[in-house]
Amino acid sequence: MTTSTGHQGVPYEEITEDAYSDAFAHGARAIPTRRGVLLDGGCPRCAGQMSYPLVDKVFRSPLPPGAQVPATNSKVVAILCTCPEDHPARPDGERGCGAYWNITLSATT
Amino acid sequence: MTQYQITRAPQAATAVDRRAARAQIRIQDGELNRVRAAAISWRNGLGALLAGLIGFGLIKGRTDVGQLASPYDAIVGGTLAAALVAGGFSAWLLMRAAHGRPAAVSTAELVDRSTNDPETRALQDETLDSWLALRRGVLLAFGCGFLLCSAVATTWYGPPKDGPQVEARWRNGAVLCGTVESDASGALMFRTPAGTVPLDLTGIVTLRAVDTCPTGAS
Repeated sequence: MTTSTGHQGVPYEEITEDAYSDAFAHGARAIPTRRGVLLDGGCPRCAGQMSYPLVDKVFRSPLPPGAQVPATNSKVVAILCTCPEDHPARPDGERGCGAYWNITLSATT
Repeated sequence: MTQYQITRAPQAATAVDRRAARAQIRIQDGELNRVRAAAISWRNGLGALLAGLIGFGLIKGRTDVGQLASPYDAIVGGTLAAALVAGGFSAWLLMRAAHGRPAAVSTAELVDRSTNDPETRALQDETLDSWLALRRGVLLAFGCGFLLCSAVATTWYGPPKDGPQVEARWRNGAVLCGTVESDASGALMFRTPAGTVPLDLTGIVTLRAVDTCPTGAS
C-alpha cells in the first residue's frame, strides 16, 4: 500500500540491504542539536519520513543487557527505521518497518 | 556548531548494529519522565534534609546572632543570606526539573517544522533543560546546606560579644574604659586593654555604662 506521501505500508521485517546506506545518505540531513545530531531522511525500505536522534549521553537509565550506544563522533553509525506510519505485523514496542542500516557520519567543521 | 555529513557506510549492517541502533532509541524513550521522577525524589529528599538541618540548628547552642562579637555577627548574617539565596534558587530549579516551567510557551518555539519528527526534538530539549536544572538544583541545595551548617557553627562557637563596658572619668581629666571586676581580696579592679588597675572611686567625676569603649580611652 502506498500513501499520498509516498510511504509504503510494507509488513514489518528486521532486514537490511547493502543499498539502504547509500539510499538514506543520498537524501538525508544531519541536523546538529543541543545533545548531538538528528538524522532526518526517508527510510530506504518503506520511504517513510523519519528522524533518528543520536545523543552522546542519556539521563541515568538501566540499559538493556548488551546494548551499545553509538557516540555521535563515531564514523560509522547504525540506525533503523523510525517512521511513525503503520506497518502490519509490527511487534509491540517496535517502531518503523524494521529496516536497519549503517551510515558514515563525519564532522565537516 | 559542528556540521555533519552523511555518506555511505563502508560495511553493511549486522544484527549487532541493529541492537545498538535500537538501544539508542529505547534509552531515550521516557527519558523526560525519568528526569521528572528523579527530580521529585531529589526535591523531597533535599527538602527533608534541609528541614532537618534547620531543626538541628535550633536544638542547642547560641541562637541569637546578636550575641556574637563583631565581625562574626556580620559574617553569620551574610552566610545566612547566601544560604537563603542558594536555597531559593535550588527550590526553583528542582521544581522546574520536576514539573517544568510554569509558563506558556509558543508552539513555534517548541515545534520545529524543519524536521520530520518535531516532537522528538522538543522532548530532547525539554529533557536536557530539566536534567540541567536538576543537577544545578541539587548542587545549590548542598551548597545551601553547607552555608547553613557554617552559619550555625559560627553562631555556636564564635567569640561572644563583650558585655557592657564602663567609662570612668576622673577629676584630673583621666578617662578609663573597660570592665569592672573584683580581685581575690574583693577589691574592685578596672580591666582595660592597657592593663588592670585598682578602681579608686574617690576621685571619679562620672561613671557610666557604654556599649563599646571609645577609641583612645583606656
